[in-house]
Amino acid sequence: MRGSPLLRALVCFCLLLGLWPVVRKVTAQGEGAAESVRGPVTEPQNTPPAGNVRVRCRLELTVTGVCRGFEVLHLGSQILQADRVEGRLERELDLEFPEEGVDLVVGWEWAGNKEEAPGSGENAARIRLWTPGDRMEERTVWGTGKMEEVLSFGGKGK
Amino acid sequence: MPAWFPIRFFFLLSCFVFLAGVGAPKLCAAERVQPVRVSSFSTILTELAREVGGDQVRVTGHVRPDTDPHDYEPTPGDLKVVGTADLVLVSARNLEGYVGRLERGVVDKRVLLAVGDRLKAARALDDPHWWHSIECMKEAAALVRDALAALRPEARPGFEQRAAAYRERLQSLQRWARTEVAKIPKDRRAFVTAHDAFGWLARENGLELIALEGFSGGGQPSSKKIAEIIGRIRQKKVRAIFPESLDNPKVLEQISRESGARVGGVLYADGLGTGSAATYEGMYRENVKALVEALK
Repeated sequence: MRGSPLLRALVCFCLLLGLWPVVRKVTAQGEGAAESVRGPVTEPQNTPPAGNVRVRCRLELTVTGVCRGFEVLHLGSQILQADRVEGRLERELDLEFPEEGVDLVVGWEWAGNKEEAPGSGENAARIRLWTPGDRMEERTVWGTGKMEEVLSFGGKGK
Repeated sequence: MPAWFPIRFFFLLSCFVFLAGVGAPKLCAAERVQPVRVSSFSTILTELAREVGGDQVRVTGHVRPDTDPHDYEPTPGDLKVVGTADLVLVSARNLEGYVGRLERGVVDKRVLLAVGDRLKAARALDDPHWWHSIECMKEAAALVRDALAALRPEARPGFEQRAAAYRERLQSLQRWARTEVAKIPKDRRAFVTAHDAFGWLARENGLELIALEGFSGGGQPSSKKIAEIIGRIRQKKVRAIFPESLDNPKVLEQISRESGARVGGVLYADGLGTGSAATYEGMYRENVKALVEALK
């Protein structure tokens, strides 16, 4: 290359200056890619996940005998209690209902004068729950004495 | 009556009393059933054998609580005890790599009971930590009962009675666990552990396990694996990750920082611990309580 060293330095400086926008664009893309690998910062999931709204469900209990101390727990809290149930009981409940469904812990004790199912020697309780979308699900539990059962309602594939 | 007669009479009487006293314990010991000598290579099975066997067994627990059974190696002393045992209990399902050596150490191969390999309920999963399944524990109690009864048929009623009582306690534990897990909303039931040891506990209680490592653990997960786990934690909105009693929690703490999931209580993966986790029921309760506390 011919010319004075000062001129050559000036030409190099101009070339580098012309390349600056390209270098900047490439660097910015790299940072963006690194950001997408790290992913957005998520809040610790110690707060209830969004989207679990409380919905009104109808619960119906039908028993073949007399049961006392009937209670329903949801997430460890009592949501329904009755001292004595004979025949049928119906209640409206507000439940947090994720798409995976809910587990209800149902407890009760059978009193005397039981009306035994033929051949079983046990009493039966049928619990029906009308879940969101007015879909009804039914669970039946047989037994004697004091009972506690975990009953699952709703959820995928049900 | 000669004068010496009372002296002779009392001398003979004393001899009789002395001989009766010396001989009686020997006679009683001969009549008593000898306890079954059991060698156990699992803290869980040590407890199970004691619960089912009662005073009819003498159990040697070779693996101590808070010891990693994956890394345990039997000592010459262990093999000596195994050589004189009536029954040798191992967890099996490839958990103990030294079963072959135990087999060579025992006089009769029939005395080695590979409990995990005999469980019908354990076929559903590959996870060798079958004791985290209460159904498997019930079946294991029945296997130990039958093995002891085959060795001491005269003590069978006692074995049956104790096995039935233990089964009742397991059933009660199972009901308690289900009620506790019901406190966790169903969309928050995924959890992360250091190694894949809680597949059974997750399966029986409606939980979802994400494990950092395979069944044996103890290694260092790759950065690719860590990144994958962090991705799954975010995707499934996992609330907590759990260190294990025998592992270094540093990797989990790093994952916790990067994912936002908090570090929960310590879980007992590979057998019994100490303190409140020194019994099977205690260990199981501690694990369930730690999960419920962090996930609910």
